[in-house]
Amino acid sequence: MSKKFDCDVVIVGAGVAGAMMAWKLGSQGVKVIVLEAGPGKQDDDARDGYVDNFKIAGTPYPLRPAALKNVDLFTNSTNYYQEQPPQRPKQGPIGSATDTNDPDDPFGEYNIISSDVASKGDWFQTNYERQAGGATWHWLGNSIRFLPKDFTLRSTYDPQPPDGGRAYDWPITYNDLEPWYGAAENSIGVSGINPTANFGTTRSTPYPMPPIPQSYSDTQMESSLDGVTFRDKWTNEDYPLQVSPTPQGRNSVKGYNDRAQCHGSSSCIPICPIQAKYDATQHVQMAQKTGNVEFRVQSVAYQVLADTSDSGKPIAGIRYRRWETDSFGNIRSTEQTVTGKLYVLASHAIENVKILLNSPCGNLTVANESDQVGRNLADHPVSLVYALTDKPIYGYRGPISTSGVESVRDGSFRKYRGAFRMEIGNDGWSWPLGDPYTTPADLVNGGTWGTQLAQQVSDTLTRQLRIGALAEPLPNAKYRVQLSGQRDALGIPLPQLTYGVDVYAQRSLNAAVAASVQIFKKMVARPVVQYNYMEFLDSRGAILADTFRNTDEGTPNIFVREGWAGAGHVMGTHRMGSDPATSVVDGNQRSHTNRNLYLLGSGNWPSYATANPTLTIAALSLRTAEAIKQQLTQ
Amino acid sequence: MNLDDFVSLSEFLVGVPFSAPLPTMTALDPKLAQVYMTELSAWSLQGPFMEQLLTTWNGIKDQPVEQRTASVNRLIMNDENLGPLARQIILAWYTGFHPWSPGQQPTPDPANYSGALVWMLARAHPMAVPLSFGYWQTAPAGTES
Repeated sequence: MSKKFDCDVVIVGAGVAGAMMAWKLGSQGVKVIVLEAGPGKQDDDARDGYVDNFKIAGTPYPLRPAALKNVDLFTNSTNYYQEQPPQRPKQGPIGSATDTNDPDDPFGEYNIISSDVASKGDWFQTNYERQAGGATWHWLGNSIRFLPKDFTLRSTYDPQPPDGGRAYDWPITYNDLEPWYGAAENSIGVSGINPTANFGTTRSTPYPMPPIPQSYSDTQMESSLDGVTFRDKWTNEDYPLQVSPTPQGRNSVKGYNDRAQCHGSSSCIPICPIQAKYDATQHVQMAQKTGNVEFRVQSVAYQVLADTSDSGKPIAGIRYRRWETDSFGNIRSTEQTVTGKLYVLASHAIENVKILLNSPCGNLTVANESDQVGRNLADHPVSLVYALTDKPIYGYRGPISTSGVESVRDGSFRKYRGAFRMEIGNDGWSWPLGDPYTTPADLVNGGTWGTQLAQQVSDTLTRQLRIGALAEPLPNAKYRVQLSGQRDALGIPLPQLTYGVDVYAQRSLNAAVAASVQIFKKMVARPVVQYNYMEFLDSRGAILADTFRNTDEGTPNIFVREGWAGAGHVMGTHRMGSDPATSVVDGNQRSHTNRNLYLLGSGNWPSYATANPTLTIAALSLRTAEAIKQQLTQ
Repeated sequence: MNLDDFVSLSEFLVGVPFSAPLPTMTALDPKLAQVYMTELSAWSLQGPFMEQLLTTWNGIKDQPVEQRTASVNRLIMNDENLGPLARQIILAWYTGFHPWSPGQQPTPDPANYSGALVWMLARAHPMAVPLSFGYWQTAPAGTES
């Protein structure tokens, strides 16, 4: 390697996209430096610390003053996506002897990043994490492929809802990505079988492990739905409601990728205590073992160095702040620059944008001749419907979700409304209500005690079941990430979000609620539905006045939670496409403008479908690693 | 304050012993009882009423069960000072949460967490406690399904 550069490839971010690419490149002899904004803590102590600390109702993350402060900021927020300044003391490099993290330290080693946003209470309810391994520390594990038509939403259906949302075709097809899906499934370690309703997702390789067994409640729901179909209101077409096992990034076999077999700890989120579930610390460690990858932790990249007179010239370096905290809690940081032949931003769909918009290039900012950097911010809004079934189904046991309903993920309705995918929970009413703590608290505060209390708590907790449906939004340029006028503790501009749930996704949520209620009506003999939800929309997006009324009399046993939840799926902010005028990167995730710059992650997606993002992020990273290797050898 | 009184009061308030169709439980853990009694004596939402609560209980604990239930309702659960403390005791046993301290979120201690009654009554297990592969496929042992 020429002394002109510090390394061959600089990667920003050690989450699943960056860590997997670092491992792939490092294993092929490519010299890589990875900048990680957060600490590198990744060993069993960190895992135990999370396990000990998460047991707080409704708070799946460690309780710490820093986090609470952020919650306060969230509540009182103006219009800023607040980042927590790094505060961890005594943090050494990953795995080093100087790493003296104390799990009991009240100051956080990662940052809950909440936000506010926009109008009408359309809060951006999703966060991410700054730590080696990224958000995969806390992902559910669902490893679901996109469907072939997810890549061609515009040319297949061309939805045109009234709020201006528009679909865009991907510059690559399912077939282009299919081999890399297989590679990603092997790298992550996915246990699964292809569902019956797979909409043409052909496979060239088998899943590396047999499926995780479905839960008792899954099979109870499945048997109650024999032959039941859901009628779509937009097309009057019927879709079967079929329960099938979900492919998951957790081991059904002991020892795959040196990980444990799933033991059903029932805490996949916030943390798998035995790492039976994949997280990207696995690839951080694998990358380190290649001997070609250097991780620089507590190193916050904030600017890509580009030629301010010529936007087409190569990127020349990345500026970052290396931070540490002294014994008094003061943050100290130093200015650093790292150079490489190629640069990869893998810090996710908000941080990538923050760096790009903070990087002058010609008369614009880096990679932004299309003006699409930061636009089309999206999440999968989730409808939560939960029920008290007639018979016990025994939740709170096993992986948080082991089955879903895939059969509603595609159809001609996508011309009018988004698709949805239904995730069946094994976690009772934990997500919608904070159980198993809420029910006893409500009963006790209502005056119940003694034997009657025990009976009612048991009777309720054993019959709780929920469905979370991920709704498909459309790209909409008005929802976006920009730089705010505020700066974080390192002097780096904070991102500012504008976000809302678009009409296409609202229609999808409404359909998902209807389908979820229909399912639960098969599991209770006398259903009484309590709606707390948004209004249905008519074909032009106007609110239908007569929807979601509680027309049934009696004690409710099916509940629709108010509003929607965030899925943790930040998408769309630097989309890929064939046309440089309307997209930021090409099909190899390479900047149209700055040809030695790559962007990774779901920020590249020109449409969002219904699958959880991690598997597709990983597949695209592995595919791009191949392209980078080829570019380096040219 | 007498720990035995705290245990017997707790058992009456939470419904122990449990018997079918509930999972069987004959007595509460005295070590955990010591933790809860100490902490709820040190601080509770309404003030330091533990001694008064246990004295009240001591006066009614030997009554026949129906009379005892009525007495607990009248003298404890409906009392403006003792009622809130009794409900805190119940929730501590059910959820494992420590007492609510001023200005803090309810926080279950890891040591109490696995002893919370909700897990047993849900026929489940404390989250983050590994069991065995695949157990979730079937109804819990001892249930009729």
